[in-house]
Amino acid sequence: MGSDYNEESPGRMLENADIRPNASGEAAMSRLKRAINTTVELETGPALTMTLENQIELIAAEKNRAAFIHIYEDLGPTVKGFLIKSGTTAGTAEDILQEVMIRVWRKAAQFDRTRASGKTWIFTITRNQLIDHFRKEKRPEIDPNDPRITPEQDRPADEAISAEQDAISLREALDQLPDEQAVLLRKSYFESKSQSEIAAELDLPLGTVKSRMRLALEKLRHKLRRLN
Amino acid sequence: MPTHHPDQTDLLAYAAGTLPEAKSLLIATHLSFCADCRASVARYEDVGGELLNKTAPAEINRDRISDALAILDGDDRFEQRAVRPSVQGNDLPTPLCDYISGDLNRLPWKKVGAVEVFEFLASNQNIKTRLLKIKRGAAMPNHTHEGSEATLVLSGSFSDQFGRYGPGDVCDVDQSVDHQPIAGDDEDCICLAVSDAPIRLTGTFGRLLNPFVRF
Repeated sequence: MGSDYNEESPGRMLENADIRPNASGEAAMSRLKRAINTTVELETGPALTMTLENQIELIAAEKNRAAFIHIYEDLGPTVKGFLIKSGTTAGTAEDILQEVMIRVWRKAAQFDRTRASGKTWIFTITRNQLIDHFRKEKRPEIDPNDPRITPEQDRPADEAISAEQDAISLREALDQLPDEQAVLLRKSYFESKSQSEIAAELDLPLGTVKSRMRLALEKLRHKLRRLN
Repeated sequence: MPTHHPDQTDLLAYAAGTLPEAKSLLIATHLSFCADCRASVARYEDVGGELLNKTAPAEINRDRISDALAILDGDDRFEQRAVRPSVQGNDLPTPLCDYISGDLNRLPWKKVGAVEVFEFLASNQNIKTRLLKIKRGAAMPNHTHEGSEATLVLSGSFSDQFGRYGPGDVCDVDQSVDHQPIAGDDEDCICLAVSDAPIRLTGTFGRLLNPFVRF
């Protein structure tokens, strides 16, 4: 029970394995397996950045506990911070965080890096856990693998690169939003407030909140035409 | 592809997780018809991922990591990537058939004028969630809405002064709008309607009916 965790430092082991971020999933995995099994290679291998996406895929492929620990240690504090910002007490945040990480483990096989980044995927799991915990509601969602849904348009061949560029331009677009628009996004995502709640809190007409939000979204969408 | 879409702010609220379940259901059902809105939601989830990433970290209790591993030890609830089994016996898109199973014709519809109504997903937030079946060619009474009502066409079509609504299209109206939808001639129109206040009938005929008809 938890023996991997009790070993010296499995997290560090992963940090030193030679997994290049651009390597294909399979090659990355076999290199990581070798890295875990061969101490010598670990000590001599170059410094590495193993992406979150690789780690999730590793859990999916072989229920890799070291990858799980690494994600928990690496992203746990951020997710907990997010939960606290959403109005959760520190104790409850710790419980929800653990539930989020357990779901990361159980749902790892459903992760698809062509649909979402690892960060985005963990955000959606955290969001759903919050809904489940506080509203006791279901979260209606489409099944992306359902053949009955209208198909996507063709994806560009350089999806990985454009996704990375997207992340950068999204970050820039977010940083450039005027405060009166950024505050609306923060209240939606962090404080889980509906538009009418935000309107009441800021003492603004609902129409104003909606039109400011539309302006912000227009800017974000403009910079992020990943579909075309 | 649908031509009438939900408001972007509703797609954002869906991605951020702030919509009530009934409204989320309507959006999710639209998404199964609409690749463009799916792309928008994916983008707004990226915004969530980015904001998560920018959050100041809080110190975690590391004992919980080994607790989690203990829970996962021998855990067999590993969810595979697979299509949810189709048990519904109808052609409704996945989000909706999680709520409504079986032949739509056998639902306990209630007849209200030219419209048949099946209410489900009782909520404590004064929100009504209903399937509506409008007879082909039939007109609904003129009405306005005290709150807002969003209607998603599942099959058939209807038209009002703003245009024609076919499968996947969303008609989202509030109290400023007085409209009279008329179902297409070729088949009955089945819609998912989510409203947060009773509608108010407006024509002469409608005013007479108003106290009795609440759908």
